[in-house]
Amino acid sequence: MENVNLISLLVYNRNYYVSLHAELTYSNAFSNNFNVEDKSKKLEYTENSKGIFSDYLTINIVERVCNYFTNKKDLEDKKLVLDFLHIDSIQANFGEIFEEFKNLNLFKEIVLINIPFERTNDETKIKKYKEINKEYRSKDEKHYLYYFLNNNKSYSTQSINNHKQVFDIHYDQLLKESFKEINTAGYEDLLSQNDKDSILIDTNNERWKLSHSSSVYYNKFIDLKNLYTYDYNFFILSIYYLAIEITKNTERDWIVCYSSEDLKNQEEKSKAKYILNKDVILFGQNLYSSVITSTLSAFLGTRIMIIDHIGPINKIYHEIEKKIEPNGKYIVVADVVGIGTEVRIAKNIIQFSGGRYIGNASILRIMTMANKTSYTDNHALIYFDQKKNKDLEINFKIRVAIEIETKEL
Amino acid sequence: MNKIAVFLIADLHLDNDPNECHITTINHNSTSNIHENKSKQLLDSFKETIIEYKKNYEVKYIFAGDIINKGKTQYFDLFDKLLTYCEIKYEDVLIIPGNHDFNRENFRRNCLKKNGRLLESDKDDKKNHEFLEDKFIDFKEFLIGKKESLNFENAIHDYLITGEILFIGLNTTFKYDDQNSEGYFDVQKTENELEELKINIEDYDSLLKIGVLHANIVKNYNGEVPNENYILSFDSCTKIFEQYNIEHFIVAHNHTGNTSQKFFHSKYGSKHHNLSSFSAIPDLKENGFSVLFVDDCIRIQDYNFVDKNNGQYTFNLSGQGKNFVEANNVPKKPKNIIENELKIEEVKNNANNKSSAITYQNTEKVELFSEKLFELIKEKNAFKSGHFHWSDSSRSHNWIDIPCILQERQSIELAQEAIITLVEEKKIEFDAILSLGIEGNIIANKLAMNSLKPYSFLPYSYRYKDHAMYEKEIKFSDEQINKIYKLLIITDVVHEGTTIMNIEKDAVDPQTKKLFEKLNTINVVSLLYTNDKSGEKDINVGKYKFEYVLNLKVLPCPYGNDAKINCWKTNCEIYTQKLDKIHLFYDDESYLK
Repeated sequence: MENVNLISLLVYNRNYYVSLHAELTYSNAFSNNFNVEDKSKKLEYTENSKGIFSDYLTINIVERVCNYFTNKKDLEDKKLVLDFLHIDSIQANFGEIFEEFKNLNLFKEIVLINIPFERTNDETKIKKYKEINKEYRSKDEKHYLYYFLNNNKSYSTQSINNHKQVFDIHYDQLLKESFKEINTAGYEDLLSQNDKDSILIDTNNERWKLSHSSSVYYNKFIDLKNLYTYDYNFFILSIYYLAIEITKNTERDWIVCYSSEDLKNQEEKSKAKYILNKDVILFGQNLYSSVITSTLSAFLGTRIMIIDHIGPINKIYHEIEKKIEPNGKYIVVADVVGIGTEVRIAKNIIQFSGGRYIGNASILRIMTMANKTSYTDNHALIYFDQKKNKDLEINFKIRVAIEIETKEL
Repeated sequence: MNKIAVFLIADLHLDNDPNECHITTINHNSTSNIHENKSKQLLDSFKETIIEYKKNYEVKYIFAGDIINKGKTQYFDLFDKLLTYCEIKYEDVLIIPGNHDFNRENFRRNCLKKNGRLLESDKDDKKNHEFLEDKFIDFKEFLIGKKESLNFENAIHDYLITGEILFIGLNTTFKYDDQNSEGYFDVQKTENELEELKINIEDYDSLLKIGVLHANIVKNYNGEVPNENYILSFDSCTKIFEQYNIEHFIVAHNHTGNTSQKFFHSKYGSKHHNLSSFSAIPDLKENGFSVLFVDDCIRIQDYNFVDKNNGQYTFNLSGQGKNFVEANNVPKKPKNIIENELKIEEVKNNANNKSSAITYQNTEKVELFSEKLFELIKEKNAFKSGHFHWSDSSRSHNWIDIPCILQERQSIELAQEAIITLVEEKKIEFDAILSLGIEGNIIANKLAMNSLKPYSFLPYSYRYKDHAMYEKEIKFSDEQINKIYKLLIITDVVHEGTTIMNIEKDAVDPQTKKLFEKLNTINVVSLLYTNDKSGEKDINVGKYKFEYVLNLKVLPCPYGNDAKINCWKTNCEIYTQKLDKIHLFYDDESYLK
């Protein structure tokens, strides 16, 4: 059996969590899009990957997830949570495959959450979802959460009324706790764990170091490279969530356009599936952001543009003005955004050359004086607010020269 | 004046009952002042829009069917009145007949007379064609002396060229009869006539082709599933449209419950536009028309009916409009420039498909990628000439602009898949991946994703001065390093391998040093190898083994290769005498002065 990789697998105590949409996205984005079987023809690119915009759960994804656990041992006291969030429809024989998997009695409990039951009026789909749990669905048929218990080695099912009844801890809590469990890989925890020094780098002998790209002084770097090297799966998962973050706000017409039939009124917008506007170009501006940009573009299906490089040392090699497209809508991609100087440099380059800057995306955004709502152009996976996370005590500071002269130096 | 605006109007049904048709000023049946007042306001609003556009645009008009409701001669006069009132000339108009434009009574009568029975649309294929003339006899008569170019029997009714756009009126009326209103393409006729059109229109290839048609193709207005012949006719025709480069469509007949839009959408998505009905829908707000105009791209703007609740009725601009044809698909340059460009293109296209500069020594599967990569370099003009001084060890008279070919999704995928294929085909084993530079990060991404092996990256060693300390650290843990015996390095271009060999020498962190010291094998995989192939043996030394997708030679700087360090600063004639444009990427302050 091939070595199965689940990027979305989160483990916490006795809970295993898998996002089927993240697996679907990962599988689509990194499957082979070139047809090389027919040797008589030249290579042809088949643009069949919809990235995160795929919402049709195919059986091969379900099988991959099932196969991952099939040969695992000691799961009998564990709980498996399969999340259907962002999945719109499911391939016909899901019921059979799942039934087989269920009958293996691997887990103590299996919980299916966010089944797209209420999100559709399509009778065939509803029928299909009902078949997943034909006997034990909840009485009002509206709850989209199914719960399978493994008592005495045979599964029974239980209809439920709300999330909390199913989980010992709430679903959101489960996710949050799972992040913690991954230890050095959870972002917020990365900053609070014992090995935080590898992420938070002191500026060695100099107490304060002048930033190369702006006239500020700081005492530490936040370096996410450890994340890439330690757990690449978790890095991919983070980028998946960042991609979701970028597209989830459907009001931002400059980012998304609607792929369903032309919508005649606003009310239908909420039902529409959307895709990223093809004028959107991801703008990578340094070595670290190139990894993120490349992965993000595979999930979103966007073009990319890389300028080598704006930060942390500001040194641009190429002639850039010819590369910015006048109709292009650029999202600046970064690993960490502090006070946003590099983002602003990138923004200026884009706008000076005739392109349109529409926002920035980063894994981590340090909250400064302004509150989160002030960052209207920012998409970040984690907004890090030192004031609210006092227990982290990372002591990350940014200062201007005048302050240093009077207080510190 | 070279700006073009085309008014797109459909489903007027001018002879309808005044309660259903809102343009009744010209309707001789109009009996109500309210109707007259309302329709006059609407017509005036329509006319004002035309006048407004005429100030800045050359204006043309397309009437995409169902001009009237009963197909009788006397009712076509209403259309004539409308054109006169709005000062529209027939020569500026393209007309596509709809299912209501044929005289059903005449058709029935003639059918019974000649055939002895009414036609059954699916069984009487040939006969339907024979009766085409009878169907539209009244319309044809009306157009005599006005618009005789419209041909009712052909697969292409008529066409209109404006600016760089060719609008092609497509006939879907073949199977219309007194029962059936489903659209149907005659596949063979369509193909023959498109070929004829292509021959007759000199600039056919350089024009943007937009198909205009009236009828829904598959579902009729009751939403019934059609005979499979209809689907086959559409499927076959879409292939023909593809062959004749017709990629965009404008479709009318949208005011009935189930229309063509879903079907067309499934095939053409945003490349088709559904027209609103001009005046036929009882629910006023759904009526309107569209204007297509050429800017940077081709846009379509909708105008919808607005009832201002005070007895005032107008057609108002609705929404932001949409891009119908993207800027890069709009032919808009003056012909002489296009011709010049074509000549350059021709030279490029006539170049040998397999250049002698590139040599392949890979598996068949990798060679497919080599060829495609070479095509991409050609297409993007990524092979640059000039004088490039990157560093002491990297100076050349050509440079391959890799960032420029790593922009489009398919190019990125090509590069990533090429690397994966090379690693698979050459059965390269590795315990960890290290990519170099931004380009290395992009091309290694997919392999790293699929391999589940530890992954890290470093800047190019000759650019270490331009990077912060932490960027130059490999960040593999001790535990990881203990398990790594075979390292896979991925980079975009290798010439002499110096940059690669220098990683160990220039390492700034203990982890990188520790890793390189213990390694048994270092496989280096690159997209390009730019040295002479005879030099390949020299770089495969010790633990280093090099593999590449494509060998494309570049000329090294011919000066300053003496043993003396930095002697090129004084010995490179190209640099000192400024014989060519010098591209400076070198981070040496004295040099930059």
